[in-house]
Amino acid sequence: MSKMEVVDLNAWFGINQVLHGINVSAESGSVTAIIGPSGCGKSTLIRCLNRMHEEVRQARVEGKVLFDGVDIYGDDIDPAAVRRKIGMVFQRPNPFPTMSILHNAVAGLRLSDEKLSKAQMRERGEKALRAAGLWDEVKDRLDAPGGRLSGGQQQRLCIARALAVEPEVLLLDEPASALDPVSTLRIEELVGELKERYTIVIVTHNMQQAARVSDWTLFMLFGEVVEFGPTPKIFTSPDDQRTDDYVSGRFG
Amino acid sequence: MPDPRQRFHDELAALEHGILEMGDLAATAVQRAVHAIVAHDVEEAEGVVRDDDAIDARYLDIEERTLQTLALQTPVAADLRLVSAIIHSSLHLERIGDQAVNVAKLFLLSRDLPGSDALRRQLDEMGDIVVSMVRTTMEAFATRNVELCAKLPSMDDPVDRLNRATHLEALKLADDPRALDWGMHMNLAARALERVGDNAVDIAEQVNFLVSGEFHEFTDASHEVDV
Repeated sequence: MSKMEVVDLNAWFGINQVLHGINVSAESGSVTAIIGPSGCGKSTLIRCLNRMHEEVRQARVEGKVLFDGVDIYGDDIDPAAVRRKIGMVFQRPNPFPTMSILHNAVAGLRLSDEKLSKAQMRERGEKALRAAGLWDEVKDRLDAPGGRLSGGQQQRLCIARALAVEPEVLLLDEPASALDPVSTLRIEELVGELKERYTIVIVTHNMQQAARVSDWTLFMLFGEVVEFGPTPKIFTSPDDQRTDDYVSGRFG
Repeated sequence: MPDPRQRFHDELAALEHGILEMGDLAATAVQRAVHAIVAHDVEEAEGVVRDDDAIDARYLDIEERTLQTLALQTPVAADLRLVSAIIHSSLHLERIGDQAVNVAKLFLLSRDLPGSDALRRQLDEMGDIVVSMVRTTMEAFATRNVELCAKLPSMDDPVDRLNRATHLEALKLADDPRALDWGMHMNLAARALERVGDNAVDIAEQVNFLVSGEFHEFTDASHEVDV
């Protein structure tokens, strides 16, 4: 069984339908990249995977998103519980700028109803910062404000914050598009490390990034899936001419 | 919609044009080398040796430009397959040019020895076939024609047979050491022509991959029993 499976998913903003009959799955221990030109629905799709889409006014979803076989849009499902299991990191690093690095890392934990001691918080924070590959850079200044870190470090801090609540799936919405090249490569390297423990879905405008980090690639156009397949195939011998034209930069 | 990578795609088209020209030069070189033997034309043979520099220069130029394209443009999908086909094909064509030089030099080395018309006819026939193979595979490249590619292995069969036949024909010259010496030179020339056929099949495999996205060897030397 796939870790996540999208079945006949449709989504709207008001009367505007932005996703049309999406079917796709994401496997445990793998990275799935979603690519496509601006406005193709890739950000909407990733936001449907942890019920973020419905937070926008007049946004609506139909269809199923199965997490371990259970529909996250089911009647008795709590969206907040979904988002703890399926974490998300956004394009612009958004740590709480005046909050300390450690408190940033465990911010999600403190918001959830878990009752943890200071020592436990510190332990969970360290674990998350280590997992995000940030620990060695910040361990001597855990009380410094998160806003003082570089852009790339801030983004890894946001990844640590997402990991601290121990999700099973990590959704990354263009996580490196605001970062310099070296920070970008560090994030990509981190994605490669994290995929062993988490199912990762990443939206990216950077096709070479999709090629480098993902195992599976989904190419979307006008709110529809054009092609979904193993990344090496998509970038050497895609089945659909539109995929070929897009990945080779003939339009976009 | 205008192509956002027009310059890159123009460069790919120019590289492909270069490969097709190289194919024409290589096929012509083989044709002339065989003609030199059949017509006992020393000037023609010397011309083949001299003109190989033009093929080598094209090979180096294509090699440099494809590497630059890989480094600077990171081609993917059909573009990547085209660059890969160009790199492989240019190496095969350069080898074909070298084989033409080998044939010409073998003729020049043995030109004063007595020869056999039967063996010359065999080489002539081999030459016709392998030149046509090179031209066919390049036409398949230019027109993206996988059916044409699939014809190459069967075109190659008579070449292998003729190659073995030249060996037997050379043995018939055993009574005259000088004629046998010539026959052994021509036997090596036949071997060079046989390699040209193999190179043409290899290029057809590249073209097949370029068009279909699936690579498979048309012939597998390790499984050939009838050598």
